[in-house]
Amino acid sequence: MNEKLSCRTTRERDAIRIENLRFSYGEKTILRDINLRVRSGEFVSLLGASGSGKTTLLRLIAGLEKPTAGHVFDHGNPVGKPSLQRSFVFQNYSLFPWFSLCENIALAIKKAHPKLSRAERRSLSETYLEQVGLADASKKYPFELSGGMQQRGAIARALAIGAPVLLMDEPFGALDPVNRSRLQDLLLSVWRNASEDAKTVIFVTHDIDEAILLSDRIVVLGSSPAGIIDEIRVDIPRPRSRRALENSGDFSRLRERIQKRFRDEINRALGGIVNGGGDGI
Amino acid sequence: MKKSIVSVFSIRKKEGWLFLLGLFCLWSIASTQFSFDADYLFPTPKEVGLSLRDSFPELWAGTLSSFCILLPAFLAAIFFGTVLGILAGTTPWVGRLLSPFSRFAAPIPTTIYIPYAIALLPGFDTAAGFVIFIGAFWPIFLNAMAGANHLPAHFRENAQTLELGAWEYRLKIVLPGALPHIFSGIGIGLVFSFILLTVAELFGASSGLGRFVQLSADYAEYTRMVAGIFYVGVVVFLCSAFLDFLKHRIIFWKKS
Repeated sequence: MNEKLSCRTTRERDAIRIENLRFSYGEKTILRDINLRVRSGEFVSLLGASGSGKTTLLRLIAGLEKPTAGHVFDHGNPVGKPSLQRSFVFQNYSLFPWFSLCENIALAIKKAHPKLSRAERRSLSETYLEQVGLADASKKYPFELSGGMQQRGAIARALAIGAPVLLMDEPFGALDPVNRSRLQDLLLSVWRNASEDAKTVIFVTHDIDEAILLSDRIVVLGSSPAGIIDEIRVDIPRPRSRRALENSGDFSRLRERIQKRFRDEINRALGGIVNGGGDGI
Repeated sequence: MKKSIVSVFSIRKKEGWLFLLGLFCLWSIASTQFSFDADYLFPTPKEVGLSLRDSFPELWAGTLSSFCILLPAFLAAIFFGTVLGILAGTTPWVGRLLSPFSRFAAPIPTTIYIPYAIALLPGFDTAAGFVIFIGAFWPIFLNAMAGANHLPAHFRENAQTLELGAWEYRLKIVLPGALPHIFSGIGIGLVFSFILLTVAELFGASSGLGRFVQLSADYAEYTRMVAGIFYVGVVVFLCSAFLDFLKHRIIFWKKS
């Protein structure tokens, strides 16, 4: 009862709030003046070129890095260290190679739901593997799986943890286009199904189309030292089909706007030497 | 997927076999076609083969007696080396505590302890076991510590996001992650322990492989001695091959 109540009250607040955040690595400032609010249940992409500090920002939200100045709040609580409240999907290291898929997920369940018995953990992990289409591979080890299947496993693990906030660091960056779009669809479907839990996703990518397809809002980061150079609301109704998107004017307008942002950013960085040309990243 | 034990033993490359064959021919020709002043020091392959056959029961008994000393000491070294190495690699204060001592003590050539150990400890077996333990412990300890220290950051971060406890982290993440290092330490430790065992047996054993070779030398039976050296070579080779087999079985996720 109490849990439900507190859940409801926190739902009113921002899932993630970042205030005046700065992050320096030695002398070099990677991020500065970051202010960001992510609503509970919102899907937000952090979009930027390599070196824009988008991964660093995600790691700061996770608690894997400590800010040089400023604060990160998770449902109002200051973020200190990594927590099961914010599950992290790495680009390709989410599964431990010495555990089978099932064992990997069972380990996560054991930490997230310590009261469950061994058998319950097993059956629960089978359930999540089924959800991502890996029911037949549960006994397999990561090295026996393709990159796409490994990332499915990583998503299953994140679902199993059941954290209110899901942090994803270019999770599909290393996949071929076919697998990539399959996994995007999978992610969207689990995200939509999980909306009851107000699942918040912060998704790092350098792929403009991917960001538009997935997000409610796109946060565009400039080059180093990076700050937020644009925040774009994506109002295209869901469910979004890839084909319909490509023919829609909204999609082209958004893409155009982001590409222009990137061009301006490059110009600014080079002191206006380059005029136009190029198409963003 | 299953790797048979035979494939580990076999020398797959043709060149390797040819080289061995060439060496054997060279030995065969040199020992039969040429005559030396001290011909008895340089037996032919046939003589060595016959001697091997004749002394096999004695060599086998020596193997058993050697292994009775070596195995417990070696296993203890694996256990303590791994546990302490991982502790030192994951707990900063244990690392700081042990690091100056290990820097001083590890490089001391372990053979130098042998006479002292024999004088200090009751019975030859305990003394030899102790020396073997020390010799095998250091490479395993140092490698386990290095393996824990150099654990890729993504494993640590992944474990942090799961909120793994300190012991769970050491057991489920650091230990498997450090296994490749630990196994190279065990490989070095195995060779060390054979060196130390045979050297210790030269000092004062009543049986064993090193003792067999020493005794043959005492009676100037050089054919037997060469046969003994061959035999020890084969035993060490088989042990290393077995260790390799275990390594591939245990670290199954690393493709060779």
